[in-house]
Amino acid sequence: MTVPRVIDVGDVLPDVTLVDHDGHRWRFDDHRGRPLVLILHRHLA
Amino acid sequence: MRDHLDQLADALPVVVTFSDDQQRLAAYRRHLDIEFPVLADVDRVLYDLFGAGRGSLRKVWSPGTLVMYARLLRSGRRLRLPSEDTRQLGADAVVGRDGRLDRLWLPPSPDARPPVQAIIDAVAELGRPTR
Repeated sequence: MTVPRVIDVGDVLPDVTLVDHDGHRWRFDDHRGRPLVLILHRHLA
Repeated sequence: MRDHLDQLADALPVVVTFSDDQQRLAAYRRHLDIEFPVLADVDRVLYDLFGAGRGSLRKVWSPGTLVMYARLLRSGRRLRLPSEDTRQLGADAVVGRDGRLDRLWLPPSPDARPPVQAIIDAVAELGRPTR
């Protein structure tokens, strides 16, 4: 199964807002200026 | 990654899951004794953006994956039966200071995550911040 790729290397990450472990909103744009290492898990084992 | 923080310079590791159970996120963070954020991406927005799809049963439960879990169990890690989509594949990415995606790894199976050193090297190639 192929999932369409919306962004590729070199593209700007859209300003996605997620929720952190404390239930707080976490905006990616709030962290510009600092490199991010994103580790997308499969599931919590 | 927790054991390599000193090699990541000013980069911030961020764990992303698609769990909708916020209490489990906090418990997971405590269990792994990590200080960096663990985020819930319930709608899998990032997974879709990066093209991290769902693997076939054969790939998700490949011999390499079973060996990986056996190794974790032997090391004392307690595993629980997942209640989430076990076919969702993960991804690893480095985003630069300007918000651009600098590096992306899309493992075809759970046991094929990139070596930590590859991620450290990618961060190092970003260079130091300009002041």
